[in-house]
Amino acid sequence: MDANTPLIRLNHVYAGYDQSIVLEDINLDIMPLDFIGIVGPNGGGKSTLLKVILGLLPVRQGIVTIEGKTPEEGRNRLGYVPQYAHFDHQFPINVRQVVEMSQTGRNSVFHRQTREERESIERALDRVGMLGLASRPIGELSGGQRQRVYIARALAADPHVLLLDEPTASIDIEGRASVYQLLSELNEKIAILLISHDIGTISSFVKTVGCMSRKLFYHHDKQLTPEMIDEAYHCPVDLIAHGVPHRVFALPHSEDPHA
Amino acid sequence: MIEALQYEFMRNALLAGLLVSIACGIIGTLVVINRIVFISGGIAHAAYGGIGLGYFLGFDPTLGAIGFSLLAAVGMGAVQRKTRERADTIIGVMWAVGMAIGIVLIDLTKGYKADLMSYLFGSILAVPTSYLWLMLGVDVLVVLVTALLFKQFLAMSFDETYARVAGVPVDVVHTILVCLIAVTVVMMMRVVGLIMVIALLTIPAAIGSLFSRDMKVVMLIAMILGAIFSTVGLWVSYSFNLTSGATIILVSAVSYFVALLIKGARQRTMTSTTA
Repeated sequence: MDANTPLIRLNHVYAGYDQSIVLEDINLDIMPLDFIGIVGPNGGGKSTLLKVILGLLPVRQGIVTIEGKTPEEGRNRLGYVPQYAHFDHQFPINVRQVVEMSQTGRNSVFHRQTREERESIERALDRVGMLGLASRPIGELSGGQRQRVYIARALAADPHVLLLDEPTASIDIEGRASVYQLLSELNEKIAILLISHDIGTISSFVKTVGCMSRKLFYHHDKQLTPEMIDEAYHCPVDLIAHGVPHRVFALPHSEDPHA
Repeated sequence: MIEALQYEFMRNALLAGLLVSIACGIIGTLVVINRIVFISGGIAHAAYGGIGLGYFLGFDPTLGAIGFSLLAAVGMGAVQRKTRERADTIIGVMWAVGMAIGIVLIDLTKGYKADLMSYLFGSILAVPTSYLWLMLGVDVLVVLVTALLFKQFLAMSFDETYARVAGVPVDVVHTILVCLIAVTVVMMMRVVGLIMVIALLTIPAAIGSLFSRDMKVVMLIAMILGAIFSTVGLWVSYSFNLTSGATIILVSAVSYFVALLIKGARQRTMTSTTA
């Protein structure tokens, strides 16, 4: 994989539902080893952005490519970690079965699980520290543990990019820190794009921050000043108040992964 | 009850109850975890249109019911998935239209309408032997398809969006599921009647899911409970000369209520011991 070729590219993308435009002229390149956090107000289009990348919502204009392919063809290179806002604790499924969902789609109905497949499930569970709970029903886990299982499910498909939707929404403070710690480790090999309204936490873990409110303000910039972080924190408020685009970026660490 | 078994109709009734509980336990579990109880009720009621058509044109009403319930299943499934708003309203209308078509067609049919009520309220004591073969056929179909598509069903039920992204052909899998619901509902029609099908379909699975977090085990519990409910219901209805379908439903419902109480009591003891 060439470090200068984007894994995901959005080029002048417009998308929306029925009469309303939710994404307006979105341009975004996700490069290998990126760790991008996108923040923004509710209804600002963050979830729609993920849908467009995953090929769940067709674009009105512009082009989305995943390693040069269409989203439908290329999404098997993505590890998707959805948000479960209304989780059903009674649902009859265990941890291992949740992670196995990553393989269900590529196998025929007559396929029996191979040893390699079973090992890749166990590796993914081990990677997130959940192998010991493999036979537990998912509803008996804590929010943080469940999030690790969903990350394992994404990892089991050997993705080049992880896409996370509000990864810490239903987790307590300690759980949050440990999920972000895990993501930082995973980022040594995999690019990550996460969306969140939790600006405070994500800006200290991600490498770059974008801000989304119909338009995306993201400049993959390498500088970091306290003022810029401060600006990022206030970004959504300012956007709502003035509708004035301004530059938002934050790099918590001085080293640059793309230099 | 034992001496009653010397009659063929009683043996057939018992067998019908057992055969129904197999498909019912499997499909009922999928209905409950997918939260598509409403659609399943709609499919069952809309099947009445096919019964009317059968009377009107003079062919086996069961065939009409299968045709109409499959049509309703595909239609309602599509409405649920493609309509962004008011899907429940449209499904409710389709539900009533199916029944209305059946009633009007039966009005238009001249002559004596034999065992019309048995389709609506069930008549497990009047199940012909040929119908038992149909039930066995539905069981084989349901067991085979569910065995093959177990992981696809599980993935779709747990998270349809993720399943789609992971490459599961969700639209096809969902259509297969609603078609299985349709044939299961028609098979159950003779036992409890179209109007009450939904209770026998969902109660055993609902009880099962109170006590297990493993889909296979939930299905197994639901099958066993379905067999118990239909047998006990049949015995009570025979002993007290009551309508068998309604008795089976009441036995199931009382059991569900008791199961909820047991579950509630268990949780209270657990929280009080940990506190």
